[in-house]
Amino acid sequence: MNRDNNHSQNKHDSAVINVLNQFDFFSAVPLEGSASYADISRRTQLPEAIVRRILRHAMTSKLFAETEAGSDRVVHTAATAYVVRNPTLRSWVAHNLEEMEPASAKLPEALRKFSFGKQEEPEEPENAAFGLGHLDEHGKPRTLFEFLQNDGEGDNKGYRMPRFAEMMQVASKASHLNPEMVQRGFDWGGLGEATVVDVSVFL
Amino acid sequence: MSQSQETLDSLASKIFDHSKAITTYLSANGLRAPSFESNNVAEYPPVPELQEARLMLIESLMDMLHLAMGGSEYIFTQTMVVRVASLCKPPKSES
Repeated sequence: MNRDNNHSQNKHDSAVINVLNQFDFFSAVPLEGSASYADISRRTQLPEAIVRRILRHAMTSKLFAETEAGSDRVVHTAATAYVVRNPTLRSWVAHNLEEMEPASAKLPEALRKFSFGKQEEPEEPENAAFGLGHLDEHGKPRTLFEFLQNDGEGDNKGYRMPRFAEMMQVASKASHLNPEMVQRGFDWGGLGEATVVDVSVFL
Repeated sequence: MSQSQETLDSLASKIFDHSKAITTYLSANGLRAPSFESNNVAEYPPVPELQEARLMLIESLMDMLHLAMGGSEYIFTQTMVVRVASLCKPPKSES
């Protein structure tokens, strides 16, 4: 039986998608045919027992399936096959789950630190949850862009930046965030002479 | 865990059946169903016939959600973290 995964299990589901993404389970299963848990274990370099547990959880969200219950042969589903065919989606997942989620966990702490008992919102970009979720080596909060530019060692430094750019492309191409929908879905002409300001990063 | 063969219509029909089983039990026993009102009952009675229907209803609803979203939207929306994490006053404009 599936669980009520959009509600009570949401964080566990995100953690599992984060694992599928970082260890690239998507490429470990062929689009045509199936893979055994042992095959996937070899490709992801994770112990088979863990691979099995991660995938069993994923399957409750219709991410991967077994050909038959107990067959031990894993196949893609609609949502995971989509990632294989649209690999840039992995940058979207990585940005949200590796960069934004640790920050969102710090939101109450950030409000307590920078806003509690005050009348005004904090002005400084580093005084936000993101900064607390991504401290530098001296324990100082960083802004999103300071983090993206400086994280990583040696040649790898700043590797998050191109991935961030790719994530933005994914967001702008996503059909449900398509600017054309906004263009066609509202009577802009009815505003007459007007100035429209785009305040969204995605449109 | 094998690949589900459900469709929007097959799920819609299951959802109707599960929902009907719940409301029939409630009205036959003179009970109220949870609603959106703040002062209503918070849970369904702990009887197997009703709870089974309720859990199957949730399962069918979740499956239908996946079908309604399609393969492209599930991972995209499920992983989306609202930018509230960067919450602070936007910088003042130069103008």
